[in-house]
Amino acid sequence: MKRPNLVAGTALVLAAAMLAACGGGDSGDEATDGASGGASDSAAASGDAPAGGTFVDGAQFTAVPPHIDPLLTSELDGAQVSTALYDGLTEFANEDGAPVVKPLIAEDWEVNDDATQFIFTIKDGLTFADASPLLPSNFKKAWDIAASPELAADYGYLFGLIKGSAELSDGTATELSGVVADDEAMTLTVDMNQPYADFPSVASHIIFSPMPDARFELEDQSTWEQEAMIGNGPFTMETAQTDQEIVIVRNDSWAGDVNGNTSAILDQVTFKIFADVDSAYAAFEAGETQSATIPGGRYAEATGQYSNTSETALLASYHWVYGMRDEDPLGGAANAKLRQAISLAIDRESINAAVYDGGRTVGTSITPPGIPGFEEDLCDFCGFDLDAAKAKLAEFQAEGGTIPEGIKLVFNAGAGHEDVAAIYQQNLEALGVTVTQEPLSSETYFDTLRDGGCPGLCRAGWFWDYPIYDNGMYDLFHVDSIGGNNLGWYDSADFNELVTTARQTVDTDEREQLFRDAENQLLNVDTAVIPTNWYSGDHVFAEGVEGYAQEPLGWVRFETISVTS
Amino acid sequence: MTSYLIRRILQLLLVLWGALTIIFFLFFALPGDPAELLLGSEKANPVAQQLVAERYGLNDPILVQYGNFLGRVVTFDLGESFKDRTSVNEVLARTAQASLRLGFWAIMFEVVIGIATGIYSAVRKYSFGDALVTVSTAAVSAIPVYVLGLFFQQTFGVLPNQGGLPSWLQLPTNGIGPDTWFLFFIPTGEQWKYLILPAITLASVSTAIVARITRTTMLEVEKADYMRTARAKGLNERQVLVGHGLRNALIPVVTLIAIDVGTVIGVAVLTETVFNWPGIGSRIARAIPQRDFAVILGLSIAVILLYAVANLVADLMYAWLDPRVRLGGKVAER
Repeated sequence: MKRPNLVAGTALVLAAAMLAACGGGDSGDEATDGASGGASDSAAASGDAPAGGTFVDGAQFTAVPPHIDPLLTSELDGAQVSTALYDGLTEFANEDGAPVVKPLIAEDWEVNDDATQFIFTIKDGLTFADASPLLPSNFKKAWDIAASPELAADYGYLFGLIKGSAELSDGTATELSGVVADDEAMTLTVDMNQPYADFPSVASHIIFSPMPDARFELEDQSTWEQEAMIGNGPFTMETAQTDQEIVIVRNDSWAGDVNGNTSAILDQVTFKIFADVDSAYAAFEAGETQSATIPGGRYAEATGQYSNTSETALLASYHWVYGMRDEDPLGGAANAKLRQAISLAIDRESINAAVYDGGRTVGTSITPPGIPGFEEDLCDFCGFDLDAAKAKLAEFQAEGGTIPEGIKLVFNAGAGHEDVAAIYQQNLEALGVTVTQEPLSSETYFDTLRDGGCPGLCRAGWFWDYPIYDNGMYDLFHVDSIGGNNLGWYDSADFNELVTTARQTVDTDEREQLFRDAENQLLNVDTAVIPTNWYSGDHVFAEGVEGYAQEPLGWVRFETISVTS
Repeated sequence: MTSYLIRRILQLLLVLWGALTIIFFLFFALPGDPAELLLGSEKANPVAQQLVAERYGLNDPILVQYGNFLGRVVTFDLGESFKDRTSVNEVLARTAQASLRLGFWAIMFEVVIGIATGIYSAVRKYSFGDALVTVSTAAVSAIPVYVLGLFFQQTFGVLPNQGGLPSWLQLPTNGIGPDTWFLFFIPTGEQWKYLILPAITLASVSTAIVARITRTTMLEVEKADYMRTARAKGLNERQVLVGHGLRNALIPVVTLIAIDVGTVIGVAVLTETVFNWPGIGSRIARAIPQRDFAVILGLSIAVILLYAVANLVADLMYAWLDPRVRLGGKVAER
């Protein structure tokens, strides 16, 4: 899942930085009495919080979202609205700190031995907020739309594992032949193209949401999000979105979630839509909103002053990928030792301290802790060790390798990566490798890399869509994802083979082992990427707000929030 | 006069056509197939590409597309957004209202505060007040709009809320608010609170410039023969200043303000972004990286038209302010 662009341009960052100094100094003196105490005791939820009220959100939309329709959205902010409005077949619950996939709208599911067919039984008697019934066919019809070339959804590729997706995509069919809904028996049968035991996890993604009958009457499916979207989740909409705000209201016909919540507490959540992260933060400080995303460079100031979610480790990785094609300066098998030397030379602790005020966790693999199958210290070249790096570089040169000229550090400008790039550059100079910085326009950055590959080292990041190992391996590094999220055009036969096999492996332990082996290949043999850190929560929220938390996947569960005063 | 107006309107149409043509062909000169840009990660799917191309007529020869486009514009159909498929006519109606209201008050501020300050400075030349005006106008015109906006948000939003300043100073920092207006321009209820900071921010730089130019031209006019004559006739100082001095001094100021009308209404991107005011300029700015061609073109038409009309009005104003400036050729021949 992509992050929305937090900052519009370098000029804005500069201007904001100028003001950050005075804003912080002024407010620090007199306003800390009530708010700062709450910084660390956010867990102290009071049981007698009154029901009702409106929560005004300023954290989600620091830019106008391209989409809020669950079938179309591909960014965290739009997904936030979708998640509050729609419940799918499954959802993740946290059990002893580990995410476990649970049935949600599904009563249960059965899977055949080779994990090629799933039969979901749908709970009886559920309805959407407009009282229309929620039946298996509401899933089937929604999926046919979501996977269609007419909608051309960014996440449409998730249907690729289902039988009939190719025919739907090339226009020879109008529905997914592999999905059969039986509204009498209340079952939804899904046939896969290949064994894929993780399908119930993937089905938790918002693009697999059911849609009410009202949607199927639309002539143009892309216009659903322009109306008040009728949901089946804890919230629904009664008014259409505007340029200024998105309003969701409690859905009293909600069926409840896997954590035992049965009703949202709030009457209403108003998402204010901002055009800029600094003015969104100013609105929070002015008391106009009750939450905000912390702007870059103000982490310590913000977390010192307000209740926040910085203790939450997110399932999200910040890393830099190598351009891995043979023609890329650092690509190809011959440069593996050079890439390892570079990875050893990066001082990740300094980056975390200098750029993120120590708020993140230094990464020791791409896969973050919290993903089932995670192994501590998987990466052999992720600890800062300049001597080892120099030794590795000497080894590389002794074997006839030469340090290429014109290595570029490529990143999207104005989104706070300048400082990281500067430390990377210093670290590499200490190693004896000269690089130049190449900031690219934020708006077209990812498209440029997808189409043209990476001419050196390129900044990347990933928020897991659902907490399984596969989502960080196949989607980011498999050959199938070249042109998509495989930004370094990494194409290793061994890695591809391991991931492909892992995806088809039914046994959980065996599958996770194969994914770990694949990541080992990625990090320690081919060294195609430099894990740098794992994200932490970055929201602040106002006094009088209880139960505000960022889920590990980054979004907020609004049904548990209550407000006083 | 009538023939002059007709000629000017024809010119205006020509300008509009030329500008639209340039923007239209610039879009196709950009790298990348528009269909691919619209599709994002689904761009590899030929079926999806075909569907998008058909929907927007992207398969037609470029001249046919151009003809269709002009045909639609003439019938006031601006098409639908490439990105979210809303009607551009509706987008324009919505954003233009917000921009006109904000721009109107910014211009009011410029005219009233700018000209009044300029006159004050000129009348009390070399006084302490004049020096203060000179310094402060120089300072204001040097502050980037974005910084001024954030400064206002801190001063009238954050500080009153956190007790640093009295709470009666508190103003909303974001959004258009209740959107309630009387006679289109006059804010009702709480609306003025949402309007005041963005309007002043938007007007700030131009107000400073208007004040400076008014001061300079007033000082020049002051030495003119007709001023001496007016005084010699026994007119009181007020009649001399307003009826003779100001009227002549205002000509360059009117030009400046006329040009500024287009700017504050059409391209107030920074102010609209900081204060989250849903106007035309920021909507165009958002559409550009998305390559949302229909929105870019549709809203640009309005902005170009606005500039052209503002210039026309400025020309007509000259004639009223200074009878020596005659419209058309005939009088000039005399």
